[in-house]
Amino acid sequence: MILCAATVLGATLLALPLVQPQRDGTVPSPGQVARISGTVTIGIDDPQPVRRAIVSALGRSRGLSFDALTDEMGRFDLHGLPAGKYSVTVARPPHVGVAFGASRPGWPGTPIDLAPGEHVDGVQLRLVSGAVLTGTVRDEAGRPLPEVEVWVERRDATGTFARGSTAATDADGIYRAFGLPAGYYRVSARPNGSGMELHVSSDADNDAALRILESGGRQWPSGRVTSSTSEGAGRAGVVPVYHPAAVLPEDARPIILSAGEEASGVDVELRPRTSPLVSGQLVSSLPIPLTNAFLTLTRFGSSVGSASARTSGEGAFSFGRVPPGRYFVLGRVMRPERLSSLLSPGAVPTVTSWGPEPCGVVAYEIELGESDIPPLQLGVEPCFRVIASIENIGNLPESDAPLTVSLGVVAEAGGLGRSRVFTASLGSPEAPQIELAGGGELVPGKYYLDAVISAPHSREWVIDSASVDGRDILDDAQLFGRSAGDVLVKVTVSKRATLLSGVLETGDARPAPDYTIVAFPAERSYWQGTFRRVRITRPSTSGHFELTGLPAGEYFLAAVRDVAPDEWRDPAFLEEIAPMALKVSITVGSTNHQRIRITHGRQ
Amino acid sequence: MLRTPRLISLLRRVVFVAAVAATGVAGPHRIDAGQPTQPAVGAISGVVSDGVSGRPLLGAVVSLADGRVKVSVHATADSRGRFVFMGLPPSDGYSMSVRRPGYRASDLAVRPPYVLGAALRLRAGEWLRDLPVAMWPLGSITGTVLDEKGEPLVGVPVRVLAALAVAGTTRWAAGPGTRTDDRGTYRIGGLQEGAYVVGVPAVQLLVPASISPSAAAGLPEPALGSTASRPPASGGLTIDTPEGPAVLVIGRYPAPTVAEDGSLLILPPTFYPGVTAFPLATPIDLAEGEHRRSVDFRLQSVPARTVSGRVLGLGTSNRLVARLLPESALGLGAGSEQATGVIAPDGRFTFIGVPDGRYVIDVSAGQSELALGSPHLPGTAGMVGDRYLTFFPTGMGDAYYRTHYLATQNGLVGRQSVEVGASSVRDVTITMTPGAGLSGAVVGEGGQPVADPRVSVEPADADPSRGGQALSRQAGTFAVAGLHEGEYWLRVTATRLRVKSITYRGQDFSNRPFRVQLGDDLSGVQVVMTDEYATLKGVVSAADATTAQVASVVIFPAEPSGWTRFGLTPTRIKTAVVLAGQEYQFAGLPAGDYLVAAVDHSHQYAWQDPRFFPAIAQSAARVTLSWGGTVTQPLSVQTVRLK
Repeated sequence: MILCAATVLGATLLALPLVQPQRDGTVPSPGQVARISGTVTIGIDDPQPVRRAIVSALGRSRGLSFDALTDEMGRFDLHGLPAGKYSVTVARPPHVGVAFGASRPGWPGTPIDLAPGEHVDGVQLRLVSGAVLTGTVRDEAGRPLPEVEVWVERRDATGTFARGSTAATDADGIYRAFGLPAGYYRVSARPNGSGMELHVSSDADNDAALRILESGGRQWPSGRVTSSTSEGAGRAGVVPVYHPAAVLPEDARPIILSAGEEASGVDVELRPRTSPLVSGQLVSSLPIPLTNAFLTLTRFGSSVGSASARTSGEGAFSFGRVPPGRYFVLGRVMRPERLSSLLSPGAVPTVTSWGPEPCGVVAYEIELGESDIPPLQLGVEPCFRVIASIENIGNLPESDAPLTVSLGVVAEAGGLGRSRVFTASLGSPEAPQIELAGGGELVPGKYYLDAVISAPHSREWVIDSASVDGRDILDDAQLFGRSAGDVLVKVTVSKRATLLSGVLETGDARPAPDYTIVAFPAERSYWQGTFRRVRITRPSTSGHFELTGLPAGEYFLAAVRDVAPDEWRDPAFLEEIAPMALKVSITVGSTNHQRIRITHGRQ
Repeated sequence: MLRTPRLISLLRRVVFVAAVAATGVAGPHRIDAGQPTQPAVGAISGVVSDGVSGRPLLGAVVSLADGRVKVSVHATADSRGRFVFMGLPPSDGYSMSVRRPGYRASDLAVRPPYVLGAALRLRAGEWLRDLPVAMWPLGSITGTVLDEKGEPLVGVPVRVLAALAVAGTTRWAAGPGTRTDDRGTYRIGGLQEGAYVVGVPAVQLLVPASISPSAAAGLPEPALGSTASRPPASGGLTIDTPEGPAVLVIGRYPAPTVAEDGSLLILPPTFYPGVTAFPLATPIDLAEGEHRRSVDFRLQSVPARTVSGRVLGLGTSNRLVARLLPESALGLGAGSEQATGVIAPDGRFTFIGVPDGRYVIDVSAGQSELALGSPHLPGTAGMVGDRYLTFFPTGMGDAYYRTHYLATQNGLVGRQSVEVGASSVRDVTITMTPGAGLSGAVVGEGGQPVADPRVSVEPADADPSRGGQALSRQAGTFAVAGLHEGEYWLRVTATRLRVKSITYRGQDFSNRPFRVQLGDDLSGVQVVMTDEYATLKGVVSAADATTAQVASVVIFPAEPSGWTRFGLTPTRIKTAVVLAGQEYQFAGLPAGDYLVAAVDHSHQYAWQDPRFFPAIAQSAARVTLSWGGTVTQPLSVQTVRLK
């Protein structure tokens, strides 16, 4: 038994004692099912029972899920559970649930250990009042706009905004987003016809046009079709607008919400904005028809396309009017084999199946200001395929469930191509090689391989390596494309999964379930990419924790309170906790058990 | 008691257009340049206004396009509602649409190139001026949903059923829906004038414990729109039933409550003003642009009884679902059930949460419904995933008939009535029997098989309780199975071909539906397609300045038997929107005797109303069309009064 010192850091923002659920002392019999019961309340100073809440227990090992409803007194009873570890959560709109053992909504909780036939009673679950964001969307004349979609985005620990919820404005132009966890938000209104190039006509414009027509003329001196009288004036794009009236997301006024707060007056003024027209032409020396190529314009740092376009016969395209910013133009050029038969009004037929070679990809970065840019000339590069071959070292499992490997290709920088997850089953000789991506699914760039062994074999089997031309791409992104030929990835798996387990205790040898264990490599160069060597876990109610499948190497092991979701992906955070962590060594196939006692803390 | 839904009155629009004409605003008309040196371009201008108040609509977006002459422009209307496009190349095929939030798209909205005769034609040097574009404000219904203790029910679905004139009768179609917010408040917007029933669906979804809960993922649900955020999926509540343990899926509908004795109390489906039987609902007659408030609900929990039993003769179906519907709700589509349950492999099923009443248990591979709104073009049909859809136009906008396939189609159907009283019902037996089927070949006039025909069947009365549009096809043949008894039209389309004849046992079914019973197997149906079809065209003139300037030309069968029960996409009824003075054209018509008339464009879809054809037949022109022939028939716009 090894007792090691570990230091705790981190601020506890909600100082709630973790009430240990009571065990009834029943001697468990093999094969008996277990129970979890308790209450759900809301409010800290004067907790009130909550009826009709849905309490869910998710089994950690087999993924089984069980629900129960609370009664008039807020009590719940989850019964019929097989033995194992369970994460317990609660949902009751419009409130926000806090997982059992978590200090705040959205953070991981403490799993409950259940022995066969055991009854764990006294589990207390909390709800926190959801916050509300409401406001009015108006046009430039101040008139409310109904039926406009509003996006509410919340910032996560890495600083990225993700869409939390959407709402639509009512007849009075008012939207309401509710049940929001506390946090940092931005709001945008998304009008119909985004990207459309719109000519905003004034009374004077139309007066002048009608005078020309009455006198027998039929066109403007400039030859333009619409009623704009001066070059560039009145030509605008229908673009999303951020509260209160910003075109660029970085200019949005943020809203900071506390639990249960209602922020009103979060208004958006929606008007067509002067924005550059993005159009151009594809050029290619490859024998590929340039018709019907599908292109997307994706804002740098976003995973969602801002606009899309299809090329016409000579490869010409237009994205319409787009807000200023930095973008990727991405797309693929292939020979369509079959087009959809059901069409929306004015829509171009969608391709439902593609022909084989030839195939081309388009990948460019552009920077847009407010002025129009000259038409783009974009060259088309040949497509490449990513083909994986999987080899196993060792005997395949005897159980009925085949050993499956999930492989995905992950771009190094956001927005530069898609990640496709492919699940391959070992032991099928008819598929010795698997095509992970092909036909222009990826654009040239740097990629990692994301590879995991699927349950139930993930405890014993592990991905040993994945390499391209002898270079590892599990930890080190590799450049794909920019040259003809396929990318061959060799993946090896073996039955040599590591196991790092242990018990976390307080200074007086009691279980310490309200901490988070963070395991991360001592080698700093691994603190990037897919972060596959960084793991976090919460000890269960008995203090036990387990981490399987960590690659061999030297690791830090730290016990920390209050780790926000994704905070462990921040190298600065890892650097801060490294000096206070335990060092462990993991070798291939090793089983490593640690008993860790927390000796002192630091805020 | 639910009275027969009132058909939409369109008289107001006729009066409006006539009044505008009478006050001296010149209707749309053409002006030629007159100067031989003028450029060969033209102009289109007009005014966008609110169809109810008449006020101009500043900011309405007017879009004009014609791909053939490479024009695609969008401009906003000014403070007087005016828009002007100049420098336009001449063309026969301009399409114009107008959009403004809170309004239905303009009546001049046209969809190229599929709606024949609806495009705007502009000649060289011409100015098509003063186009009157009326936009009709959309209305809404709002209210709150509380439980019996007065607490708001959050995130529960609320949806409307709309009275829809279709196939010469009136049916209730699934309309838009939403979910309640944190105050229990809902708002259903985007509603046109019409009659609506507002309801809170509450379907108890049960999955046997031996089956993965993911089987519930395929169970049909009412469409609630993208912004009605769905509660997160959960594993479900384990329930002990007479047929064994099962999982009650919770989160999609109002959750049950747990009584003191641990039993479940459920909130049943409820219709405004608070009834659980659909025929007792009070419809809301919404006027154009009306915002009706305080359409509130106070749901009452009821004890949950079970209905259980076994399905015999399932055959090779997989993942079949049994639906328990109130008798009056058969045909109302997804969300109208009292309960649904996934059938266990041994055929056992259980429904829970069933209050007193009379029900029908439906076990069929396909579940059909009528629904409003679609992004697709009217007249198209096809398979999208596990759903077969047929789109058609109506006075409430585009609608569709959708059949959702819940399992592999093996042509078997099963229905059983059951009455539930004070206690649970057990040992209900449902025996699957073969539905009706049609099969045959699709050939050209020379006898060669037609490649890739699109075949479907449509219930003649558009009744969704008749079931699916099951079909399969291979190289010029087709087979349709699993139909409930009734009358069905067989529809066949192929690229550039039209149906010339549908023959079965020496009789022609191209102009009448098939009548089938359960177990019928009509094989050897011969469909002959032709590329020679009839064309009818002519110029529409307005009688005088008080007559409408925008007309709808409608062509329909001369025989009165063709005026009702014509299914969803009748081949011998067509409409086209034209301006007075312009030419209409219908191509692709089958040969036969027809009546054709021009009426105010606001009646464009009134042909779905059984009163319409009798009202205009007397003054319509009679034409006889032959295969490959063209007939010219001038028309003048007539006034219609629907009694």
